[in-house]
Amino acid sequence: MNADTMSKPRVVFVLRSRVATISVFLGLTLTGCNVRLAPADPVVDNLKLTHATGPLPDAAFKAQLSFAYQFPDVVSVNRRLNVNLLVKNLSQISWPFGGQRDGKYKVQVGNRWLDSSGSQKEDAKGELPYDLQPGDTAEVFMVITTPQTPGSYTLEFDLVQEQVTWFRDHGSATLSVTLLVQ
Amino acid sequence: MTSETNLTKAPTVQTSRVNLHFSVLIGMGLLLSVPCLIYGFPFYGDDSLSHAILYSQFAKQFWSGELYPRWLQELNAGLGDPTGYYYPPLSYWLTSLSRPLFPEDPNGWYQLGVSATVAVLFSGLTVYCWLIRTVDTSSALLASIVYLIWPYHLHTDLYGRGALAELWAFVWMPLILWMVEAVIRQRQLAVVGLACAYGALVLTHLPTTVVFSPVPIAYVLFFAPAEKRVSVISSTIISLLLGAGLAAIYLLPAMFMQEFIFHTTEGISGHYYFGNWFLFTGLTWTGRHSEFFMVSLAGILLAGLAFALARRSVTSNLQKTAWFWFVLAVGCFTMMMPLSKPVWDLLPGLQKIQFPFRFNTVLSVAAVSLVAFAYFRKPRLARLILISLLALFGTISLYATAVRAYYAYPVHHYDEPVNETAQKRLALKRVTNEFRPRWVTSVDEQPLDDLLTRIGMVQGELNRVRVVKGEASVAIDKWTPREIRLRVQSSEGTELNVSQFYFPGWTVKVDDAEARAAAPSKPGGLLQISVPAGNHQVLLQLRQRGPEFAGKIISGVSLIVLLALVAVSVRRRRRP
Repeated sequence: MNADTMSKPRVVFVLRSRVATISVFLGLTLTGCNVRLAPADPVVDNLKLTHATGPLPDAAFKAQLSFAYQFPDVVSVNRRLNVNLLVKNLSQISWPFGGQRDGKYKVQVGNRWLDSSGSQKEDAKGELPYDLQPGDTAEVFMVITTPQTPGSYTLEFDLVQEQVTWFRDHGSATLSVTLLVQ
Repeated sequence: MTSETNLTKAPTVQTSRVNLHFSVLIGMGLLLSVPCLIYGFPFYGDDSLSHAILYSQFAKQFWSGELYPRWLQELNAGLGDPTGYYYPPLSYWLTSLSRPLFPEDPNGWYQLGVSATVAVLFSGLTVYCWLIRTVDTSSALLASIVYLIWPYHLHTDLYGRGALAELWAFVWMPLILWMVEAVIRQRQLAVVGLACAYGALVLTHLPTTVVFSPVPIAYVLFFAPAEKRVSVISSTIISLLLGAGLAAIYLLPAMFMQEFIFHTTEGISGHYYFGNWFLFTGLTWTGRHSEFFMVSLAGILLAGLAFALARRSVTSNLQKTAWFWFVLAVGCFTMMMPLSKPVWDLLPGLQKIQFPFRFNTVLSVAAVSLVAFAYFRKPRLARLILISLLALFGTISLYATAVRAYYAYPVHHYDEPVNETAQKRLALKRVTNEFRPRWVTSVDEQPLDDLLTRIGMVQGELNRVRVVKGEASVAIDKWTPREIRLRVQSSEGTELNVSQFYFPGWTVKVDDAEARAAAPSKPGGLLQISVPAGNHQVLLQLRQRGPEFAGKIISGVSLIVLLALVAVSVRRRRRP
């Protein structure tokens, strides 16, 4: 290597070389001509995945539940049923989607079966897919199991903060239907 | 590491011997992969069905001109799937190259089988190329054979788990170490080689990248000569950064768009929780996953025995090397045991690899290195002991692998319920739940069937656009993975559900109005759009979000830097 070569800035060589030209072309191709980025998305802006670290304040326990699709009036005994619910946060406080590792403080949808004698049996749970912001609605999926004994039952859905409280205990409306199990 | 051993070799003898050893390794690799060549990718592998579904769609879109398919449009019965944003693409890119050779292979079983075979072959070759930099060719050959038949590599990853990407990672790990050796010796283009090898690993398998990445750094810290340490360490770090930069096209969206899918949170509890998979607690001698326990135990036992022989090396440098690999092997094994739980708890990033048994990948590299040093320059008796141990190990490993391979195909073992489920999944191209968008409640079999029933069929095909509000007539002009064009005619305005899952980046543009973000239908999680009264052209596009665009830029820049380094090197070589 002589002194002249040493004094030439390397960058000049790089820019002149054919390899560099090809590499620039490849780089531009890779980055793509389509630079139209997605516009702001309120759905993404609202997306949060937080974990509850304690009980929610009393004002948070206000929910509205509805069936996402038509629900049958008559069901068979001891059957697993898929239920899609729409859950709306009617409070001014966001509900975190997660809880502690053991499930404590997690906000979920639960269901119970009440028979004509007044006895009740808790059944399944369904998770929120993300933090539910005030006024927002999310779809919750759960698989419930019908009772083993035929009869008329009330099927009730409600939200629960695990190991804290059911929302109904704070005056929140539940979703109830009367079913014939046969 | 020293080059003393290389200097003693006669180049001519070595070349012919190396060629012979290459042939042996290729022959062995082919032999070990024969089932893949005859029957295709192992059908009953844990992930095989997912690979068949994902890969076949990936390859289809790739050969349609989409170089990097991220939104896999026909999956989930045609509702689309974002797995391409999260699953590293390199193993599928490489597999796609064989697609033109198999026109009658719609689900890609044979293409995946060929890909697995090539991965096995190359893993043997790269480990050999790495080891002959430090030991003689016979020791390197012996260790490479052990690498090929390593239980976690062949029995578990190929025939048991059908883990195509992790199988390819077995190619890149030794290649990275080979390139690290070149960096230490300050060879030309070593930085480029290391960057490409590391980029390949990132683009292939992220969990292996996570567990393996400290190894090259530790290697140079430990082995770089004191007088060159700073420059070697800097070169290594720059190479790794360039490699990660090269892979940014995949890495950035995968890292920064994680919250859009359920995968982010599934590792916290349940099946994918790392704490369920520790040796001696979650995994034991018996039970469904006992093979992971036995494979891990066999690995550390062999590493220990090889170390016992390797540490009696003639030079202190070789002893030091043996200690390095032994400590690494023990470290890997420790990370698979419950006593490492505090470390896992401290590192949330590590928890995302889900299964501690993935440390077997690094353990295998450490163990074969120890085998090479255990054989290298040893007295005859020591070599005999080692060969006997390896013969026993190899026999057990090959027997277990053969049994596993035999039962990996329906032609030998027809499991009716599994086959029925598989055929249903293949027909609907239903992928696993973990990558589904967060706005889609479930793509499990029954809920997805329910959703498809609600969407309905038109002329034997899924109804692509459903009017959910008002009245409208809709014509579809274009239906491609990231772009859909509709003509909508409605007298009073309408609301439509387009049969593609919502995913951030989907935009809707009506006529010449500005594009706005699409919204998910509730329920369903499908693309929901409102169209005003009149005749309108509606354009739906899945546009790139910031991480996707930034990833492309960073990859492009990294590629330019690497090509510039090649150009400089070539120029230097040509100089008189």
